[in-house]
Amino acid sequence: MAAVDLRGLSKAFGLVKVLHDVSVDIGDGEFAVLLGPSGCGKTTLLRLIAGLETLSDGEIRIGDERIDQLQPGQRGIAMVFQSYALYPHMSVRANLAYGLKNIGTPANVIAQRIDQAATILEIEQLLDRKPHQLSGGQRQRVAIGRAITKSPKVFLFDEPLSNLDAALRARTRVEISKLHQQLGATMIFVTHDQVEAMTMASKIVVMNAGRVEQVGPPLEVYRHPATRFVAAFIGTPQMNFVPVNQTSENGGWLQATLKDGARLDTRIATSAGHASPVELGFRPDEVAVDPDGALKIEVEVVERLGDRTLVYAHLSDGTPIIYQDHSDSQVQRGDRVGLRPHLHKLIGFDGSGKALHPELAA
Amino acid sequence: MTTLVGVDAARGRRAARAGWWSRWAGLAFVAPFLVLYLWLMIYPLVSGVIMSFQYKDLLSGTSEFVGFWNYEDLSIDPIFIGSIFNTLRFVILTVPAFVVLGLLIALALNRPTRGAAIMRTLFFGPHVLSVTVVTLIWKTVYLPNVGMIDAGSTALGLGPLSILLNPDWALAAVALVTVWWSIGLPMMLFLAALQQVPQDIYEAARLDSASPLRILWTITIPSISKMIVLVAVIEVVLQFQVFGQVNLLTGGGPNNTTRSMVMFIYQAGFQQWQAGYAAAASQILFAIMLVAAGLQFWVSRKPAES
Repeated sequence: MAAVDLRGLSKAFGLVKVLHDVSVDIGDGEFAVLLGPSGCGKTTLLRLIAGLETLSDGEIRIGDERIDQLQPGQRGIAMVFQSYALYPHMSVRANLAYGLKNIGTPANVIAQRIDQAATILEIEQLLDRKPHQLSGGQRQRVAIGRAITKSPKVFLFDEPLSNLDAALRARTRVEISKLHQQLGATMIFVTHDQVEAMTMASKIVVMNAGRVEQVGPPLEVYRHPATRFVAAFIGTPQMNFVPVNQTSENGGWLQATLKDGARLDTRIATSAGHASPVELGFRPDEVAVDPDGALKIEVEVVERLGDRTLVYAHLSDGTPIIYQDHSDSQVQRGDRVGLRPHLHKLIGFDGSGKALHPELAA
Repeated sequence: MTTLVGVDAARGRRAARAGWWSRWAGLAFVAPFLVLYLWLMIYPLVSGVIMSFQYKDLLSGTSEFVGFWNYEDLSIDPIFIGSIFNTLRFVILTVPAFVVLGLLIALALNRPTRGAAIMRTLFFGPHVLSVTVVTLIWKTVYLPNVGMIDAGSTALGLGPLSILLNPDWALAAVALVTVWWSIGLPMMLFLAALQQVPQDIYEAARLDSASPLRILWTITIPSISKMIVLVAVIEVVLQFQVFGQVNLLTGGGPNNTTRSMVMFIYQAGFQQWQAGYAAAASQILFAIMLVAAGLQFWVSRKPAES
């Protein structure tokens, strides 16, 4: 069992508190991605699990064992660093063997583990080279190999793809996912790239300013963001946010009046008793072009991507709107277009940023 | 066709002129340095070699070619041979101390605390003092009967040690002064090298269950091996030229046990005015230093495979 249990973790550097009461459960064999903007504390959280930083408060368990008091080497974890952190003066083979040698593993077992890792990662022909003789992608494989040879309970990845070019990044993403299926180990992966998070994770932990905003499977986080921050952070292009001037009730559902007087019907129940929204959000693909639509926009930029068209526009009060049109769209700069957001997809956000979700379509 | 050939020829002439010009322009730029280098480095070096084959009395101004006579004379001069061994002993006493101690101090002070910064300043402090000040300080420490060491040893009932007058200990005492005086430079060089080692490979080593001692041995030392060689070579070259401390602390005594090669050269050249003899001794010192530094470099260039 290698479930990772983070309970009430806090971390302060001097007077600066960087993590506030973080609690997350990561199941055995799960691929968890810590996602958030720079400085949100995700790398600090990973380093706390690794033992490279000490906790200010809280506890960390792997399986049934409390590990936050143990030395990094005793925690049963392996980490792949953003910079790979290969030992520059050692050959690839020595890099892979180092951790096993330090705990007194017999030489034949070390050789066997290196062979296995090298086969999995297809780096057999690189074993006698030094790190400076390798390309970025090869170094990355060696760094992952170094983690694999240790057969850890938990793999930690600290933005390992950020130094690769776009094509290699996409390929490595798939390979790490395959590796996860092959090894069945628990993996915790830090990234600020939501595409990496969406494609690889079985669970996404969205972080912001040292707090966990939401934990859930990728599609849940995408479709049911818990907060405005999550809604804005996940999804490309970003979700549209329209300020609400006034709210009223229309047949048990909330109806919003915008600044320009336009009225938007929603399927957010008024009976739920929550605060009224100050903003409405909808994704660029959750909208229909309709001359009678409530949102009147003026087109600024048209991006034709081949399979679809992205239109950048704004409302009369200047609020930016992005929507996705079909690939043959004839829309042009300066056009005035009417938009009708899908009724069941309009999400409200109250003053504190909490999301108010619509009832699902029947 | 002719026109084309003509054009080509003109182009060729232009190119040749440009090549000629760029060659001479380049030379013109380095000429001031070259002149100084030839005048101040090569000329004295060559004239030193020539002088070593001459009998040259600086007082009377007479000089005469004597072939290898100076070298033959040196080879049977017991004081000169003694000075070679004294210098070698001094190098063996000081250079390992500079490397090992310098590295240990640098390792201990390689942290961003105020205390470490103060200690770094304290260790580097003596390095800025002149040799006269340093020897003055240590003379009072070593002074027979009343110096700090003899006062201590007398208080302990051992009686005065008179270290600088003891043929067995005088050279070691000078070596100690030298290490105290100059440890700051190796320390600073090692600190600079240590700060170049990326922090994340230390973290990776901690995750790889390496003990602090193993990290030192398998990560830190290989990462700064180039600086270790540099410090060793610099110190070998510097310590072979030991002179000031010896001259001021012991004057070469007791019984010539601290007389260094440079001191021998100084006395032959500037006290006995035997310039040819001194020049020959200088060539031997130069050769020994060259061999020692070269050997050191060669030994440490062998790849340290883990």
